Amino acid sequence: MENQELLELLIRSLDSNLNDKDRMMLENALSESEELRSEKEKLVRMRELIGSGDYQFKHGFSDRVMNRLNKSKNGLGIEFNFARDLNRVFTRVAITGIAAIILLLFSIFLTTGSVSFDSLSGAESYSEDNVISYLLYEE
Amino acid sequence: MKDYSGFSDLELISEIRKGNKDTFSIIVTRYQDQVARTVIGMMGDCMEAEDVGQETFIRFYRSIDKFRGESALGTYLTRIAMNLTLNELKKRKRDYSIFKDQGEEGKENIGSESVDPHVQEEVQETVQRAINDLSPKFRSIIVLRMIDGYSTKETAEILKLPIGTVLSRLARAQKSLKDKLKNII
Repeated sequence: MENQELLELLIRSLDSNLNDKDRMMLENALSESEELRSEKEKLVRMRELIGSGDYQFKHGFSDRVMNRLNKSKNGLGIEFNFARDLNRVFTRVAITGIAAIILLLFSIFLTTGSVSFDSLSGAESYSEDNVISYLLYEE
Repeated sequence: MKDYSGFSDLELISEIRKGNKDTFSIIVTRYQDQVARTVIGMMGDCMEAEDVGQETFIRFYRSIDKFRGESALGTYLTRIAMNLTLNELKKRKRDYSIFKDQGEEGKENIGSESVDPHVQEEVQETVQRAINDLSPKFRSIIVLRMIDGYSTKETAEILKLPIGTVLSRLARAQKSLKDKLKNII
């Protein structure tokens, strides 16, 4: 049996009951292979590390929950986190805005062949004569 | 005032249904660590995790009439917490997908031999970062199985997945974590 398969068997043995055949195979492999024993130790150590973390809310959590419940009428009101909601809306608006600008630049590039200040402002389509006559005769 | 601390979960819930709102704080105190393990395990120790933790209890309070006691209250709350966390992670991914993860620095070797509290803290941060690097579908299984301590069967029930899927995701997640944590295990 390949080492990789034994490793998978080893990992599986930590979370489920192996059948007799697989269990015997794993036990034999563990007694013979220093490498596999080392892998088992690493896995056990890793699981201990993951499980030993400090996962706790800050002091006064229960009071904060009760305050929030009491603030909302019968605990049924809707609360808004204004800053968070604004942030979300702004992010969406910003993304849409950037997408629109990119599309606009791309369409200008397609029609004028360049993305210069003149092409952005539309001045590229006017000749000097056009501009002068516009300024002189526009009432 | 009557002392409700010795009441069972179902007795407390019955009191809440009668309108005795204050007894709800006993349930919060009783299960806050369990909810914290799920939420902080999934999201890391951040303000949003506290928000989701609070929201878990508030959602439960608002739908307390729906709780029929078929599963243990802890499992029921864990399910709410996990669903809210996964929704929050989806929102976060959607809202901030244009920004890169900023938690990459500081992934260098950290020895595990010392028991210095500072080093221990760094080890825990490294572990949390490795967990956070997993996609939510793998992370949820690691959190329920290894942090909350649920069996694979319970994990499958909470996530509404077949046991085989839980076992295969668990195996893949552990391989990935083992690689990421090779310097400290």
